[in-house]
Amino acid sequence: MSTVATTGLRARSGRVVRGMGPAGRMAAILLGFVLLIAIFAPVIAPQDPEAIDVSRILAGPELSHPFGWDSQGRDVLSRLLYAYRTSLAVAVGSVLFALVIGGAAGLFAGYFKGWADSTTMRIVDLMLAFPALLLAIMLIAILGPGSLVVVLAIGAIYIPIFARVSRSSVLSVSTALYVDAARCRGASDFRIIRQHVIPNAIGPSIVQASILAGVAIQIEAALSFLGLGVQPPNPSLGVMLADGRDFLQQAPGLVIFPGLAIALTVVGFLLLGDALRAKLDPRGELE
Amino acid sequence: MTRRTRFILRRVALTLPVLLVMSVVVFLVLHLVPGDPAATMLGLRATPELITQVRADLDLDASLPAQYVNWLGGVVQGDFGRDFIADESVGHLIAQALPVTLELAVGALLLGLIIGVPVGIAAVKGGRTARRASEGFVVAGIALPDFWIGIMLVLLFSATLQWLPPSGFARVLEDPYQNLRYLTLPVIALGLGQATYFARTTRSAVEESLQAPYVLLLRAKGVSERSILWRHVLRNAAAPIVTVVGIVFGVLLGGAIVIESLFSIPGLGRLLVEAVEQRNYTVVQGCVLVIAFMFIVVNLLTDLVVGWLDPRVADSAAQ
Repeated sequence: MSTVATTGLRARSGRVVRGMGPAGRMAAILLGFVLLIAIFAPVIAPQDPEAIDVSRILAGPELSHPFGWDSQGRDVLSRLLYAYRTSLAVAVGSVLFALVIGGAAGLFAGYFKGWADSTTMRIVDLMLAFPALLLAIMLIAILGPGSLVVVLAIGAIYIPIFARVSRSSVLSVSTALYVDAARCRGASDFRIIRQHVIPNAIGPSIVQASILAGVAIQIEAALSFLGLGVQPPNPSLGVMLADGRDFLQQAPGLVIFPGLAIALTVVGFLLLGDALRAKLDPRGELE
Repeated sequence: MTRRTRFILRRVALTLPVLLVMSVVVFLVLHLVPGDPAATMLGLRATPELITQVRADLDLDASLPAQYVNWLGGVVQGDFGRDFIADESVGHLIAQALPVTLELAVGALLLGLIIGVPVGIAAVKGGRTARRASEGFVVAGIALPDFWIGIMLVLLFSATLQWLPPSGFARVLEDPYQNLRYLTLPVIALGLGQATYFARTTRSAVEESLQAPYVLLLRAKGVSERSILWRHVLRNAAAPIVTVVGIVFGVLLGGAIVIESLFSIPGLGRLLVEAVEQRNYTVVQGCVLVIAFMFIVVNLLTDLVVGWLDPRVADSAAQ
């Protein structure tokens, strides 16, 4: 990216962070906290998440184990921290994957128009013709369950959404005067896309990414809860919910804490999305 | 030909290729599985004789287009193939599961509407507390996964109060009372989540309608606020709400998967999940096909109803 465009983007992201308002700042703090937990889980976690103490199965909270023990005698707090790390990685990974593929497809359709547009958008329409969870489950049926497959499956749900958002903003940016001017100067399509179209059209996709990252946490939890996502003994929020559902009476904390963790993260991403929308997508090009 | 007829024909014509391509995608599921699908499906039971028999049953030795045509021909006649694990016809399994899913989806949809629409109206017309409560309801509904709400309902009403069973099912025609008891918690868990969509849509549709010039005229004529809301504004806000009813119903048909598994309800979603776990691809194909087909048809019907409710939609689409 050229220096001018990079400086422009940097200056704009600076303005975005400063001007996000109280809700946006709260979201930024909440998500920052969550991100730190996810990154430093191995350092913060008081115990090994896999370590089993059979004498403490389903035991209640103690000072050294504030969330108690699970059905196999593992420390719930440590597992929750690691689960968070997995769930967040899956959510962010799937959104990035879909942003790159869907964004590129939308860019291709919106910039080149004509057959490129109609072919891409027919594929997008077809992907949207399947209920979201069904599309994910179909992919898992073919590839088998696992963390990486969940990233692809959630990504597949999101690709058509990013393609639409990116196409619509690229369509409006590519008719701008500065794009015409660059073309008159003899700039290549690649240069125009890199220097003018992407920096100016990426805003709505970033807003959408923030909102969808929150939803991805929920989808991961649902798929792992069904046994089709992250596979035990790896902890993820959905795996923890599935583990805890059979011990509701003895240890309700096993399902309450992962559920609250999901809710907090989703609220964080939604607030961030709202705050970013006000700054990056004032015309409302989102789906 | 009127504009409305043109709109209906156009919309139906657009759906047919989508259905066709969807069927190709579902057909290919079996063929995208790494390795021999017959051997994968049979798992540990796979013997050379059984594999040969399943391959013959699935018509796997024919060319791909011939297989597709045969398969689609069967599907159109209600023959979805054979479940090699339970040794039953997939069509029969689906016919048993489909009414259960429909009952759950309709229940959740009605509950969502009954709660969501008044909450949405309260967000616009209610006092400060009502607005705050409605906003809180919407945020909580978006943030909390429906199956987690389901688990919490089980914790409260089954494990603690012991009022309702935590899981299981009874068919409505065999035992209506038990059917109601078994479906109460799943319907609440699913319905609460959907209510947030209705609340959001109703709020924005009512807000928009209230700003229309005809509301100003009605107020100037001295029509009561209640009459403006119920007789005029809600009628004009109906189109977006119906659109969301259609979307939500379509999503519920496929999205009840987690709730069905949580409450052990023998619907399509649970059938699908079990089939995926067992790598029972003929059942996976059948379930996906039926769910996706209903989703597409519900979307089509929704568009047609919206076009009928709001002629402007039909006009702009037909032009």
